[in-house]
Amino acid sequence: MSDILQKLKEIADGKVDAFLLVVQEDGVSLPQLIPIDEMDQIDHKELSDLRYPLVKIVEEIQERFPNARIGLLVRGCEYRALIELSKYSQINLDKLVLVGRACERNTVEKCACLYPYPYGLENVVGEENPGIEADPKLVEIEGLDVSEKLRYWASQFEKCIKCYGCRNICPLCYCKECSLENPGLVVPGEVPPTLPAFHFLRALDMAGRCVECGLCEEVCPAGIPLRSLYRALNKIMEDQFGYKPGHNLDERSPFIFLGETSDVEHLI
Amino acid sequence: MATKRKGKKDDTVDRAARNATKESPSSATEEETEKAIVEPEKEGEGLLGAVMVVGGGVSGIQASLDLVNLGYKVYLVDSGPSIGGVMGMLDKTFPTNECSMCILSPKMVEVASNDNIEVITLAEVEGIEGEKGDFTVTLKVKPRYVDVNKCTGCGDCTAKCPVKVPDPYNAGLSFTRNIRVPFPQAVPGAAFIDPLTCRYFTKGKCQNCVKVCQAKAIDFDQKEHSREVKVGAVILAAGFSPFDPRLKPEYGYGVYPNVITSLEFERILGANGPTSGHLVRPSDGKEVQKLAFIQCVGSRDTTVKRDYCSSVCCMYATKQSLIAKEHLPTVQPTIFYIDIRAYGKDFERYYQNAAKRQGVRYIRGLVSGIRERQRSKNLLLRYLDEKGCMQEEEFDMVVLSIGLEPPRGIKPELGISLDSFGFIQSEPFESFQTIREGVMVCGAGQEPRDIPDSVTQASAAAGKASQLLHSKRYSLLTHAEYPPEKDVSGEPPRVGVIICRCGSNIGGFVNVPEVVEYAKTLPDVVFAEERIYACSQDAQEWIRQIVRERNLNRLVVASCTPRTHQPLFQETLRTAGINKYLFEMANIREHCSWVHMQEPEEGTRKARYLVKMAVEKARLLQPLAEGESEVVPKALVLGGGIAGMNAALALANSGFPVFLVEKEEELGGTARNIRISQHGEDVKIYLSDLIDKVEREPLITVFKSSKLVELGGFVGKFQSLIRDADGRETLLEHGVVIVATGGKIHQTDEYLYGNDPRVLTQWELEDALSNGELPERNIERVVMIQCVGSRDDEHPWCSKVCCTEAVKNAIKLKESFPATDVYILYRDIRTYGFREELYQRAREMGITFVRFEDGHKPQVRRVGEKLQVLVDDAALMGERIAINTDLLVLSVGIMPNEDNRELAPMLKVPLNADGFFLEAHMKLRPVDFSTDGIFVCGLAHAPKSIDESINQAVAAAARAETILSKEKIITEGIVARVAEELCSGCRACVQLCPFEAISFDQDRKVAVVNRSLCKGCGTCTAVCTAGANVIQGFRFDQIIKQIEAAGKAWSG
Amino acid sequence: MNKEGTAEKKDEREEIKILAFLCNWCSYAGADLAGVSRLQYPAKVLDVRVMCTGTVSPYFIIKAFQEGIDGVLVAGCHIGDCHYLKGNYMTAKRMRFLKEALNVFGIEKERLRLEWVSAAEGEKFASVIRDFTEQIKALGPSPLRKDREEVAKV
Ligand code: SF4
Ligand code: SF4
Ligand code: FES
Repeated sequence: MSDILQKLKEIADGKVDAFLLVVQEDGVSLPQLIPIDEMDQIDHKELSDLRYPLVKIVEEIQERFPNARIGLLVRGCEYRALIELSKYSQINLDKLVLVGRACERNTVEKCACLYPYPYGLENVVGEENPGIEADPKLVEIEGLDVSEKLRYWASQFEKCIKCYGCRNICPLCYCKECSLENPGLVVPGEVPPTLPAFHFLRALDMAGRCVECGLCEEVCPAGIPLRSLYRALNKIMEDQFGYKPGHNLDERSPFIFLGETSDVEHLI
Repeated sequence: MATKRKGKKDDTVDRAARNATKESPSSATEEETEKAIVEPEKEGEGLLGAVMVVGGGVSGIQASLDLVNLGYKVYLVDSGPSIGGVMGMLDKTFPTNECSMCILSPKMVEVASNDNIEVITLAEVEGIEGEKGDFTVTLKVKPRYVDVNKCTGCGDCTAKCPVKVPDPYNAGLSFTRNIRVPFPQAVPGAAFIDPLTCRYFTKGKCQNCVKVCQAKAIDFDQKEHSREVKVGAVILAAGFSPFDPRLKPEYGYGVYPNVITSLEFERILGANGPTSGHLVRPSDGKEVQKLAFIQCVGSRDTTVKRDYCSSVCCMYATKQSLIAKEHLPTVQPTIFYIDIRAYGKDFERYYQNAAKRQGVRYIRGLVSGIRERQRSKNLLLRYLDEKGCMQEEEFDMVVLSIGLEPPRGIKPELGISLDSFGFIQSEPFESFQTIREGVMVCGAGQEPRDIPDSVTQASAAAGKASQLLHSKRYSLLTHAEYPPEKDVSGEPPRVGVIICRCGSNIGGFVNVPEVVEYAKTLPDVVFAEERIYACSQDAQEWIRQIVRERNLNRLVVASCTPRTHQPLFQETLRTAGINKYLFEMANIREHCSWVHMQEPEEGTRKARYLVKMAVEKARLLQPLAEGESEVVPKALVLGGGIAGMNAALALANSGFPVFLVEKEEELGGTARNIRISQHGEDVKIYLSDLIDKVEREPLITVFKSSKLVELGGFVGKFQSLIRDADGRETLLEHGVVIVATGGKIHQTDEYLYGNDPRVLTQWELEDALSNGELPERNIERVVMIQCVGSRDDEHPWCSKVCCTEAVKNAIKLKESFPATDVYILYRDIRTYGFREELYQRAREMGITFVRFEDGHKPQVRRVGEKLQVLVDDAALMGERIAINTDLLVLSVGIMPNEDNRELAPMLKVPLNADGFFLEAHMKLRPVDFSTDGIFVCGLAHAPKSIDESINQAVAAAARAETILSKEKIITEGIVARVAEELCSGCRACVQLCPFEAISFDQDRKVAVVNRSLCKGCGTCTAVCTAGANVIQGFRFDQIIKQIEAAGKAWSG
Repeated sequence: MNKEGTAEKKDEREEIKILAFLCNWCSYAGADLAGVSRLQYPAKVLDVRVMCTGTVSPYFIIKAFQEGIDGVLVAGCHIGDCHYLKGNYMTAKRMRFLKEALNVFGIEKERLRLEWVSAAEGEKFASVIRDFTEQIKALGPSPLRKDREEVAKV
């Protein structure tokens, strides 16, 4: 593990003011911000393998210290989140020095991840593991007919306890006021929330943004297959508009630019 | 959007009632006008701040709207019962295939709801007495037999009228009744009676309409009368009349039912036309498969004394072919033509697309006659193809592309002069100025022209009037006096609901009392009552009273469409001291009673729900303020060519300081290459006069060798940084920007140009010709090649001027050296409009025209001492001929300036695919950009002639003046607003605004809407997941409540 | 009307409701023209006027389904005709996406319809409403309504 830290130190040398790492201490994983003058500490750190909503912390740091230069390690999904967030001006990539890490096979499998590697990043440590082409849950859902689908979702969302965990952990959620708390859209205090309001609303907002990190699904106490839902919508974005969130810095979600006639011709 | 100084004559608010009409009742008018002008004129000069516009087509409408925005009272006179002109009859417009009525009708509504435009219909101009600045115009006004102030346009009378007549709006292809509203969007939206066919007038009895009209609007006692109106200027916007194809009997129009005119075909294509857009032919209603268009019917034809080109037919035939294919994909359109004149902006691309991709068949050939097959009623066309062979082909239907004729009813007695065809003659270089000072002209009545050119000329004519009258700006406008607005913000909503019966239009189908009772049960409703006509004058007084007595702070009117009537009720509410945005309408007529006539119970139920939705929204309405922003009454003009200088002078003549920035050391621009105009005037003299005037004008500051390097601010208050060649910078502040940066002449290296001194460009030839500098030695032959750097893959546009330029120079050559042979190698000769006469003259003089096909460019080589041109002569089936020549002249095209690429992002305005600036709207806003306060003219916009550049320049200046003449810009209340505390600074909305109205505040990290630029579309709000960006008047919570109301509707 | 009232109650669950979002400049005007031309269509549709379809947020559509609407129509200017130049570009994109999304959710995508109706297309407006009403009738009340009833039963 320390090769990766070594790499980070090497690359970030002189270019950063601090390192942001998720470390393991006494069996607990937690994020740490290590200033450059305490860099030597890094050699003694044990990196955590746990997936952690690191990106949200980066956002917060940048908000408070817009000029701070930070070095950090990112997985494929984290890198995508950073890219996507930068398109919404929530992240300043210029101030980040990134070293990628390829996801280990077991993580890949657990996440049923299609892109377990920070493609496009120059410095990546670790072997690229093949992504999982088909999300088994999604395959199953896609096989259902329309009315079964609704029944399936209804049965899933019936378990929702409205803890907002999915939103809170989502690296892409940054709104100051959340539509899920808009009384015009979601009946306050109603548990479980009736369809289609809560979950379908959230799903719509995730389309073209969701980087499929799956933290929402991991954190959901009710075990609702949220990632599969968002993934299904991302697939639409790809099929209809050729857009994949977080994959390319130069492309933007079709929902945030007007475009030319040629961009909409195929839709009419 | 610029301020609309709207005003009311004290109590006559209701004049604007119906979708129209402050037409004064005929008798009252004279005194009224008298009263208006008796006002003391201090700076005197005997000028009047009023203008009469004659003709209510698109150019008349544009001129009227511009004039009223420039601060003048307008009398808009039309000889028919409604304004709208021919454009109102068109289905689509080229080259964007946009719906014609959709873009025209908002302008008509704007005319209707402006109290400073008086629409006078069924009237003709008898005489214009007096001098510029102070004219007395005599009108002959025919009776309408319907009081426009009472008529609600409900159509009850039409239903009961026994006389069936062909409907002129549908070019006579369908029937209507004698008393009727001319067409649904008519302005004034009132009925009229044609006495020639009225049963009461012809048979002495009937008056059914009088019996059914609940508004008591019908008045058989009206008489024809004459009326005098005093104005400072007159604009003739008389339009054109269509050529009568009966004058070409060989085509069998009027004899064969399936031979129709293009205007009739336009109605057949119209979704609102007689066949609802189904492509069927008149004889048997059969779907049309083989469709032929015959071009130049009544154009370019000396036999019927129409020597000119009508300028628009090639394009409209192409458009109609495309639209026909859209309606019925199997149809096979064929266009028989002489030349395809796709000369305007983006026209060539449109034509190429039609020909190459959309399967429109173009056949170059003259149709000599049509015969009808007796049984099938199909038509046999005989035509002479290019090779001179007679051909015959059968078609299901034939459309005659009829030409544009001079307007009827404009007489030289008005002190103007008409040309030999009867078009209104204008001054050289200023096509909008007639020979009589103070009388301007615009539109197709001056020369056949298309919509954008007409609209441009209309603005130019309005601008010219303003140059004359600007000291009297605002002097005759009426202003509304409003009581102070009551602050209702803290109060709980008190909603009043008024349900209109609209005579029997609503009341006959919807159970109005039931809806009233229902309305009373809705939350916050404190008053609900019905009214026979909610829009009538007395109803407005009643509403004001109710609002006051019941202390209402929200008003809902359930009646007809808000698109026409909302302004009226808002005005009433405002005069009752309540903010006009505390108003909501439920459309229970167009969207309910009229469309559910057969299910009155269902209709009643729906009416209830519509009212409920309106009430729910009304409860959440908040007073909105109109925005105000300052105007710096100065202009920046970029480019010191003909366009820029004319724009600058026009503004200076109206009293506004102008900064004129020219990148070269000298003023003049591209026109320095031109010596003689198409009409034979000396351009050199004109240009030096113009430069002189500009340089002597104290209001114009000229910056030479200078460039714009930075532009900040927005409409009303721009800041720009100008840098000169020495790097000196000047910061300027101004209210508008006019882009007149010109174009450039194509630099070619084809055809040995630059390699052989005998190869010249057309411009060089012109120069040599007028300087008498042609080579001493004998010139036996001159060959000209057209479309050099035009209409090819790299430059897919027509440069518009080179055909005329070539023909003009060829004539000049021939005049100077009669023995010289002149050849012009061309693809299409595009001498549109009156330029056709030059072409004709050239042929008569023996100039040889050789056509080559697309893809068969001529070749040039040196054979010994000789220059030789090889060309595949299309008339000889492409056989290659060789022409030896002493001089080769290239008609090089016009290119966009490269600077455009730099300038466009700075100004935040778009370029088209070719690199020319792209205006806000190809048809109706030809010199505006979608960014407010920035205008375009001249070659920067597209290739064009000098006259056209001047037209555009003066038009752009007039449009700019509509802003500069205001102290403040007043903007709509319906604009987007970002709640800063909720904005996360994601900038999604910034990128979505089509008008660049949202910017990002770097310090506060929030999006900020510039309400002076926001048009209120709301596109930005839908992307804001935080709900930080909301559109006032259509707020998120309001629409959510409407949805909830709709959802609950059926359950009670 | 009272008699009607009871009849109404009975069929209420089978009765369909359609909500239409119409842009002010084209489709609302097209609907006006349908009215002026007295073209008849079923009365199951209620409309919300918006300045431009570009303002129609996907939230509105979901909200409509949540409120028990069975079919949602969004109608605006033809591409190129939008009064605000490109507002309807967004509509085209959003609605295409939404239709597919509804399919993922298990709501028949035919329940959302996007139409371009110009101010001159009164006939088109009327026929769209006729057709859409038929289509929704054939689909029956929204599954979300049924679903809610079922959930309520449990
Ligand atoms: S010569 Fe010029 S004006 Fe004539 S067709 Fe060619 S490009 Fe157009
Ligand atoms: S509503 Fe929004 S998108 Fe529309 S013009 Fe205003 S700021 Fe621009
Ligand atoms: S105004 Fe009709 S869709 Fe934009």
